[in-house]
Amino acid sequence: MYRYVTILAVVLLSVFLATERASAQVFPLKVSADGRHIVGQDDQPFFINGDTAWSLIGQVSKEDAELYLRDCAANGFNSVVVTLVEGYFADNAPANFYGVQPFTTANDFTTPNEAYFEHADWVINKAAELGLQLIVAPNYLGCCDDGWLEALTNNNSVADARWYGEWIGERYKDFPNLIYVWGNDLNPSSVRDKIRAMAEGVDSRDQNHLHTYHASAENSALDQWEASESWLDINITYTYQPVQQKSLEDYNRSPFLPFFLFESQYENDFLGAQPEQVRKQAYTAVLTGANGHHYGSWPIWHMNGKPNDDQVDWKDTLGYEGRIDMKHVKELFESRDWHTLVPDQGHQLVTSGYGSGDSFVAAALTGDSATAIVYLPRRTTISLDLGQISGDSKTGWWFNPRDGSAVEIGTLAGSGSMSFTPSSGDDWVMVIDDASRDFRAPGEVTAVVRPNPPENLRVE
Amino acid sequence: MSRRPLEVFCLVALTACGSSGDGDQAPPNTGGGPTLSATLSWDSPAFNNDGSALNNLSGYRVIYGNAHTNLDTTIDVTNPSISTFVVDGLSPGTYYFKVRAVNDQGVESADSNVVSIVLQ
Repeated sequence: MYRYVTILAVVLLSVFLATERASAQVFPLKVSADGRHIVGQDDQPFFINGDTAWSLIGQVSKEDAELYLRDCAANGFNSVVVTLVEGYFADNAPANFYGVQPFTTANDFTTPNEAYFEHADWVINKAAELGLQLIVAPNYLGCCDDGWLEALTNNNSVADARWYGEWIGERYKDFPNLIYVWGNDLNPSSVRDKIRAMAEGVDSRDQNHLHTYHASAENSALDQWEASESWLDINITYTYQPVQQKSLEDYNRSPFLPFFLFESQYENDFLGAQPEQVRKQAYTAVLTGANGHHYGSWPIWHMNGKPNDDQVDWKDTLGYEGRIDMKHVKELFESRDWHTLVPDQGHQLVTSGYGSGDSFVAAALTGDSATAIVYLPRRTTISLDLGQISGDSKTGWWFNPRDGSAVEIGTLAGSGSMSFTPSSGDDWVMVIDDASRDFRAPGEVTAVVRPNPPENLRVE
Repeated sequence: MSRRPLEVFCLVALTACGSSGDGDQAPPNTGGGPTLSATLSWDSPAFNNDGSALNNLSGYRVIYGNAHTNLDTTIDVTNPSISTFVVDGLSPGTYYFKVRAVNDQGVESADSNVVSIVLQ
């Protein structure tokens, strides 16, 4: 018997989830004691549910930056990728919206302009106030003459790079909500020593924040750097191909670093990704071992910066279907023990119909075998071995990734093979629980709206 | 900017600033010893952690102690309008303070930053 479970109230509550764990208790993020996850200061796993706004600091006013960040918080994002010093994409680059240059001598990283960084600080602090983690690129090098690569190559020595890193580390060591990301669309190749010098420079002054590396597409950080690099803390996945291929590669690495999907196809960007595509990327990443994901869309990623061929204002795209759907990714996984998920690489759980490539059915089982989660990117019939899930009877659900609702299939008896087919051609998530555990509906969240804490406490 | 304008600080004895009578000063020391005090000031929050406007602030919780890791004394301040508070009746020593905002449902914010002072 099918029973439709309306969880509208839960969906409404979910907008509060992004900041439920107050940032003061969570940030800065760190690597778990077992080296497998990214956790908060409270040692609880932190599910990264990110948006991408590379040009947030460089391109827009404070008012627009705040508008954007508030929208992120309201839509369940808890992380945003930004460039600290915009080199190309902003209209005034490298100057910011207000025309303030990042360096008092052009291309000289040893001449940071206080006024520029004060604006950056304001944006970072605003994000912290809203419970948002920022993944900050201090020196976006770029793939194709769209960053600081030429300046790093020709205008700054290794010592200069080290100086800049130390300056960044000293300035930002006490900001709670940062992760550093180096490189950016570039394999290190000829500037490897200078990148290392910057990262090590930061590390020498700031031991509080994680570092990672954003390489060229189809390269994860660990494809370009050894895990033993002293500054490298976490791995990230960057692929335009079916996500499971690279994500599983990162999951199976040894030595291993915690990883998440950092970049894949952006909604409505040059590959024309539609909502189905960005949902598939997000769910597939987590079900193949990622510690979360970052979504991206055009033109939010550069906020109407270069290339200046946008036909739509970025503010009018905040409601893109795929972008709005991303909050349900976090809701679903945080309603179960997502951090213990083990990808079904051997197809013991989904025994047939698992597909491949763009039609790959990603599946995983929690570490205690009490929950199986399966993402079906399109209408297809799959067979599940219910014996892989604990308990004499199971509770099955269809979770709708387009609105966060859950349909209870009912009680599934036995431990044999059973076939399932979604009722429509859309993408669906199947959740099957050990019935004895009495889990809440998939995606159901509990959230508390709290005041922000007082700031700038002083004593005399 | 979401931050409210800074309140005028009362950096001297509370009586010089006027008492609202609703919780902007700690109870006096009844131990008969010297009565040192510490004056706390902060920027009041204007928003909740979900980005919505904070319309139901009911006060603050001042938490302090003699060790950073052991803040064991709590004072509830029931006036949401203040952003300065005098902790009175303190003995000589080092004190650490933090403050939380509290709404009318009794839900507390995360901690503010921690500050310290040496009283002699």
